[in-house]
Amino acid sequence: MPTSDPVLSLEDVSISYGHVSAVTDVTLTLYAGETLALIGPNGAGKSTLLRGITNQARKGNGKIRFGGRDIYSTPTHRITRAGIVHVPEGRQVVAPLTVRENLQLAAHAAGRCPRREIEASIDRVHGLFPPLARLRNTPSGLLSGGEQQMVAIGRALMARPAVLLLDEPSMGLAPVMVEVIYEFLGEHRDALGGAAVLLAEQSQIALRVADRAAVLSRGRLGFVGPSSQMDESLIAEAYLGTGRTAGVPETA
Amino acid sequence: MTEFFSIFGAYDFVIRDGIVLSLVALSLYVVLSAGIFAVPQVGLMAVGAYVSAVLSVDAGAPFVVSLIGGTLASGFVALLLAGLLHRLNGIYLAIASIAFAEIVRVAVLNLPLTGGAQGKVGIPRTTTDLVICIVVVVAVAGLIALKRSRFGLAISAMREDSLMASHQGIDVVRYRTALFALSGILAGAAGALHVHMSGFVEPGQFSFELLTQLLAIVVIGGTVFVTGSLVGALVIIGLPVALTGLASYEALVNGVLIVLIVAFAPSGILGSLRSWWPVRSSPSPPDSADETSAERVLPLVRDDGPAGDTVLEVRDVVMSFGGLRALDAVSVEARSGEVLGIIGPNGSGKTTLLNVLSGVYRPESGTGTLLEHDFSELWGHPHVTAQSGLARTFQNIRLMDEETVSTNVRLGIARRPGVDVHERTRNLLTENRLDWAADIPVGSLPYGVRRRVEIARALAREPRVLLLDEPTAGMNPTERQDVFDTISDIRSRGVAVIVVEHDVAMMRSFCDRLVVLDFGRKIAEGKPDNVLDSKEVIRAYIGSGSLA
Amino acid sequence: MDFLLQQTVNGIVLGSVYALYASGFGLVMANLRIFHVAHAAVFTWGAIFAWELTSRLGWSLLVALPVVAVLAGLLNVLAYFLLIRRVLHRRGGEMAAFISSMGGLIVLVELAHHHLDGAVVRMNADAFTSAPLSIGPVRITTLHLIMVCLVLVIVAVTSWLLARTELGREIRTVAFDKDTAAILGVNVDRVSAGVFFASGAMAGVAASFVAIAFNVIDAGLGSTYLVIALGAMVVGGFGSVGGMLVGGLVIGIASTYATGYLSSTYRDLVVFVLMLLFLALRPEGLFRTRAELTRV
Repeated sequence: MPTSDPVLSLEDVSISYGHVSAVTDVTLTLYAGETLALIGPNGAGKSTLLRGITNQARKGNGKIRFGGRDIYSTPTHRITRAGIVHVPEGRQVVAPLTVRENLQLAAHAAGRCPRREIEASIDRVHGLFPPLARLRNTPSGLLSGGEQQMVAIGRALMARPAVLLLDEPSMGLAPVMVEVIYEFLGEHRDALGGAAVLLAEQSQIALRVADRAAVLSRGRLGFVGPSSQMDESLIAEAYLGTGRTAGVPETA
Repeated sequence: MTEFFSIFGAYDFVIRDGIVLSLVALSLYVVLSAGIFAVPQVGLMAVGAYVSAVLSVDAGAPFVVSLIGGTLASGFVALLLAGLLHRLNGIYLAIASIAFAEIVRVAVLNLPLTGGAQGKVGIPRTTTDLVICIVVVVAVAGLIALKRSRFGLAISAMREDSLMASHQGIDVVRYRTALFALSGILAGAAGALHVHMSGFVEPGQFSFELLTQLLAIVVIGGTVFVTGSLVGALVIIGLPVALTGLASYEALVNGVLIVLIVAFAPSGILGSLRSWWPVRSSPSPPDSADETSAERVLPLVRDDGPAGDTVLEVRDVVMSFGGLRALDAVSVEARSGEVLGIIGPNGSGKTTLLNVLSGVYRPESGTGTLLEHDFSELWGHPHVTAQSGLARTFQNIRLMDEETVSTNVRLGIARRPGVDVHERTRNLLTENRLDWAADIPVGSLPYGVRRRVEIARALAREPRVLLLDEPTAGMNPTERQDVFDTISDIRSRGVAVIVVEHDVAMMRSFCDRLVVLDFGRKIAEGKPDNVLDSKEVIRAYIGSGSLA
Repeated sequence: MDFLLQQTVNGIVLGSVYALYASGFGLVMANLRIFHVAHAAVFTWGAIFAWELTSRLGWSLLVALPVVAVLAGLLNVLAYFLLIRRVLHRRGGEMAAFISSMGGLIVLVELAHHHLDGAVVRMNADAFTSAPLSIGPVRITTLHLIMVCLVLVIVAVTSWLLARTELGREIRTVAFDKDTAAILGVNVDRVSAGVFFASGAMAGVAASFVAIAFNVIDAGLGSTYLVIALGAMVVGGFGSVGGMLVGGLVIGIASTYATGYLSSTYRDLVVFVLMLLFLALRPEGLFRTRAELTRV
């Protein structure tokens, strides 16, 4: 349930790789409980922006505040432990570890799930993604893309996020699997507690589950507003046409 | 008069030892500066020393024969070693080469021919100071000359980025073998000289400790300059002399120096000095407005005339990585004078396809031809593809950042008789509007200019096929336009151009044909307007609101 | 036949110590992809610590052992912070770390040399009273038996730790991919330091055994056994502790056979040739490990 409590705010964040400016002057606020879809074509800078939030990419100027605290230079593992959980592009399950070990690791390393509740949490993940129960002792490197995505999201759940950053969860997945993931983000949203979700996607499927949406194109933020106001022509323009670069001020 | 080091009195031995040591350090330098992590030089020196000793004492050979014999034997062993270890890299190569050195040591310790633990004595001390100096001067001069030649440039490229180097036609394996041989020759010569200097040889001289001394020399002197090894040897030899009171601490100081230099001055003493040299301020690029004249209308670039012959084609290429099909029976052909665009959502296999086309990957199945060559001979050998008329650029620009623009462009020129490299480089710089930047290190230039340098380097090969992997990523519209203008120029010269890009809007107005990939399959091909208006393509890109 | 059996048992004893030494190297190599040669100096200092505690302070070996392990572990952690951490993230960081570690090796060996005043020292024989045993035709001592058992226990505990505990999962994750580990909340720096500690502790224990069994301690101790430890790693493969145990045993048995059937001078030669063969023909060792760990 979206609220009007800002939980994560970015102010004029810019990120470059050497000489290449990947993200320029992004200002965005994420509110507790909402799902914000960040849509943009490839190379727009979505992954870079998410990596910048968790301090895995070198940032230029700008501010990032989480729950009032400045986390601009906080080391990555501490950001996770503070409650911003990043599910990266390509899922990055720890291949040699089994499904169960991946989930256990996530719970312990993030340190936000009390020990005695870990087993119950694992059971809940199995409930949300039934195939994982069967695969619990399989090394996760052997799973299919869709199954790995389930592990990745399950891992995020074990970390009890306050903010969940999802980087292109549907990438490379068969439609059936994408359906499973989006069912989770839609119908089973409450499994995430009051967490805010920043969902980066290439395709407009993200709009299905989002309260608000933003368009990122060539590193700059364009439209930001309720997802109902986002229509196909806006996106198609950004992707296949000449794309708007002037920002529309954020609307609540 | 030949023993002129005697003017240094009691230190003359030390100096001679130091100079010979610097020769061995040079043998280490030649491989380390190419990024090859091989350290067998102590063993190679032992081979040279012992062969020379045996020739001299047991076979009564004269000095020159003994010297040459030792040198060649060592070079030959180095070649064998290169062959034996050709598959190894990094740590494994270091371990293997240390093992080799120890094998040599234990062998000479035990074989009757080499005199066991006593070694061999009675070697005529025919090495004069003059000979030592001549050898070292020749070696240093030779290495400097080599470094300045195309060989040296190829080595630097190999060290910096061996994938990029292969695409400049550099056969990395062959160069590596050559460097091993060179290393063997230098180390062997040093060994032979030394035994004729001291009159004896014994296994204890070729220990692990010697290797650490050599490493200290190369680290201290740095691998930027050939003469660094001389400086390093000077320091290592000079230290115990300078610290006569603390003579027993010299090894300790060596060790501390190594750690400090690696941590704080990785390019060694000379390298650090070079970076402190006042840098000439780089002129800024001419105002882009002067170049891309305002009258130039946006893409008047599509040439609807007939394209030329097929110069590259692949059929039914299948490529998997760990169970995932990256390319699923993809067929593509490129024609001269035509720009073929390859587009598709993330993960659709575009870069994988380019890697197959440039020979980096060998597909599981599929056939193809590049000009007159069958692709089955080219796959896995990008340097051969490069030599066969194909050039490419990379998604993350791969240039030698520390080198100047003209050096980088020069790397792309194929060495052929009758080609004046300097003139050709100058022409290329002018044609690509880079002459103002000729002597500026590439690393300090803006992104758009760097991409232009990379394209200029690719053009230096005079390719018939040019592959461009996301050439406009991260650029502003002016830079983007610039790149596309360059491409259209190239096309008009009859080159077949294949471009992978994300900026679909620009590709629409610019490419002659488009191929669309999705999940490793080709889902559309044809004229841009037709392809981009197809429902299937639109859906592949922006998805659908529902999963119908 | 009896001779063969005796030699095999001797080889197992020797090999188990090699294996422990090798495991320390291999642990660091598998987790951080670096060749930490200074480990050899930590080994040397482990022997010196053991000597100081038993001969100068009069402790018994079994009491000194855990203390030596901790001291050696801490020394290796210090080496990590001073030599490795700073240079690892650079481009070409592996080579830089190797050279830096080499520098550290030189420094530590020299310090050992000065500490011992260049002498060769011997362990206090009272530190451990070893009784000879006979098992069938094989003669062995209680010391040897304890050595082998302790090594097996350490290897078993390490394997268990890696496979079943949270720390083990974190270590395996860091070895797989540091970025992924960080994103999950793992403190990569701390885990790496932990690996160095464990590796140093192993070296300390192995060195103590070598010191008392072969009764000679000098500044070059670690370097002498360095190449042999490398042999164990190459033959067994880097990826698993069990693999390195097997590698150590193979090397131990091979070198003992060489000494027994040929002569002691051929011992090293056999080891090195074995190593070279493996590197040329099967660089990943007997136990094939994950592709990431065998980047050849």
